Amino acid sequence: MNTDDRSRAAFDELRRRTEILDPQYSLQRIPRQDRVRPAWMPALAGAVVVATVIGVVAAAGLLSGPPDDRQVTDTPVTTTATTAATSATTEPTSAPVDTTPTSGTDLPTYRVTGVAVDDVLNVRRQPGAAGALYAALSPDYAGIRPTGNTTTVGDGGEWWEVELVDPVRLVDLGEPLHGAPVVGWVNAAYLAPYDPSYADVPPCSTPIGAADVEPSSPAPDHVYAIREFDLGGCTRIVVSFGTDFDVERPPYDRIGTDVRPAGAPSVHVTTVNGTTVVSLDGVAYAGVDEAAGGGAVIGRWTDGSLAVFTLVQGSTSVETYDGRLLIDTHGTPTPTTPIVHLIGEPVVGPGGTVEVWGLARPFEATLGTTLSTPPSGGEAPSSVMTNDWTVAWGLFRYRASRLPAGENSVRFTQDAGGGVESVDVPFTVPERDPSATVTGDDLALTDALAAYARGDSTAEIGFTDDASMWLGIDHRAPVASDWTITSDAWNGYGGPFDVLGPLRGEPDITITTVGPHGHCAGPPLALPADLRGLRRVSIQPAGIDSCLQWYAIDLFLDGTGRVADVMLDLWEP
Amino acid sequence: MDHITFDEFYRREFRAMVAIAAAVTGSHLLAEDLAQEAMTRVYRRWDRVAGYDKPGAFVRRITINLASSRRRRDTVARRIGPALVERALPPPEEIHDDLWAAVATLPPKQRAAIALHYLEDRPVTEIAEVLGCAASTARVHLHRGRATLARLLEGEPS
Repeated sequence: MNTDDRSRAAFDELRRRTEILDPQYSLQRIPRQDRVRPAWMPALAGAVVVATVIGVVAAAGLLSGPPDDRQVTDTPVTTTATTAATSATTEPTSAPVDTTPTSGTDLPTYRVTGVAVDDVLNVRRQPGAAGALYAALSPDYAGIRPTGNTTTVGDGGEWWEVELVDPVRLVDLGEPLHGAPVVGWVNAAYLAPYDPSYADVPPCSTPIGAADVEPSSPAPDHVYAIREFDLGGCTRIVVSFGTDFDVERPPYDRIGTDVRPAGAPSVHVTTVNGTTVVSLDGVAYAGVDEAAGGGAVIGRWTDGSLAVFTLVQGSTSVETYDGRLLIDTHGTPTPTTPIVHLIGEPVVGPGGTVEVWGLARPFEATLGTTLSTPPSGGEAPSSVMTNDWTVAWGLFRYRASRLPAGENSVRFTQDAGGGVESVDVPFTVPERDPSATVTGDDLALTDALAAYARGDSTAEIGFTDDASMWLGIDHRAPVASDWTITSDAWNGYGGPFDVLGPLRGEPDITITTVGPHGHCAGPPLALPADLRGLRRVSIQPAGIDSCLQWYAIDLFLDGTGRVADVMLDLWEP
Repeated sequence: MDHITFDEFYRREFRAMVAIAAAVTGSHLLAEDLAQEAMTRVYRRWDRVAGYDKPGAFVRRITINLASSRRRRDTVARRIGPALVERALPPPEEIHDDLWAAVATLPPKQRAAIALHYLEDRPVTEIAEVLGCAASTARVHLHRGRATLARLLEGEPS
């Protein structure tokens, strides 16, 4: 049996097994939202935004659980909080603040308290320390909703039955859940009332700048929940953070083996075209919240830092409180244009190029584009499409070249069903910088590299003696004769990697550029210090219709024109 | 596709979503959950999705995205915390163990293309629609996926 036949047989078997399970799939199982995500149901829309996408994407890594050398216990191994109970197996020294748990709301009302930062709080299937382990809660877990059932165990400790409404990892199954309700018992001594809106923080305080924002502590390393509250003329978005394992993401390459960034992240607040952008350096996560009429989009810059784009207009203030990020918006929130949210200012190249990155609704998002001043001697794209990897919102990149110097703008338009909506993005093209113009030598160099990659032994390229080859900005190695970097995985691809691979075989139609260029549908990569002073000549494919087809081979030239570094960059799928 | 109700759409597509997610993640139990999630997202904006020419392609894309994201996350978890790794249940494990192990090594897009090809017999143009890429790109995903499978299984791509 050949591979194709074996594959068909295997998939036929998979299909058969699925069909066997078919009777389970009645429509009664589907409306999970009735049980755990009522916030976006029509009757309750606008009340609370539960970060469904964030929950799904983040759930797997939410409660990472302890490292192997950490105990899982009902009692903190080391307790710094003086109010914490001494042990779950003995009488707690203090009762919960409210001995009658509140319930009946869709919001969590209690949080973990008195648990050391390197410990977890156990959730058990039965009350008491002898109950079977069910889940482990991080010290800052706040998604606890009591069911109202309480009991006192033999040693006098009070245990509450609770529902865990935020993603949680189950101990016995090792399975993170992000949809089904998890109900178990916890020692009530480690619970404290919790208002997820943080109403005790004055809403809509005077807008503050980045310098006034205090970093969260302990350092968050990924977003796992976004909730939106109407505080009466003020919209509050609360971003909660948790732990995550996502070391495949580029930031962790620089962080090392520690799953948490060292130190607290710094917070920067800027406003770009009416959209508030909150960037948190050192935070690794990307996700999207599908809040209707508001909410926030979580994005990850290509350098690994995280940004929160609020989707409401108006004066915005940002505060950190209790490890959460509070984003308040004054006045009546009105969505920004529903079609486009820009990521950063337009990047205008000295050679008359402009690149604009943004987020737009996916799948159906084909944005019409119109330049107020068209290129001189070329055509600008009439539309752009989003890359919809993020499901809820997709990244797009608009790029035009050969633009004349001076004021210009690009108008993005979309037929949103209720009529065509548009947004104008102004920019200024500076006078051309001769040093950043592609020269004949540059074209000769890229042609020679392509010929060299295809095995032309006559192709002459001047490399420095210690020339390096790179995979993006993540992996560096001395140039080898086979141009291979033996990395197991990078940007979602499996290694090893041939740095000149895209140039081998049948030649693509390529373009040569000089200077910074985008990471396909993302902003330019922040280059390592070693490369910043070098002239950058790049080869990229022309006329591609997907970032999956995109690559860039960058040649970094020293002052003598020799090639000091060669970098392969690919779009991560 | 005019006037299709969500119930009809669900009945028609859900089982296929489970199978696709299972092929991508290697876990039938997880696949059910992901298919539910995909359907839930479709349900949220059914008033819009129902108007699409091909809502089936839309839900497939969501399912594959969810499954791929989840799989990537699981791969990381295996590196960091073996004790916390999910117990994936490769559906046909005992029958074609080496084949599913080979499928698991494919990049997400190739795995998705393979699943759509073998599970649903979809032509390249429709695979491209689901994956959101050009037909030529989908063809490359499919070709590379099949070639890798053939190489890993010491066979030849057919």
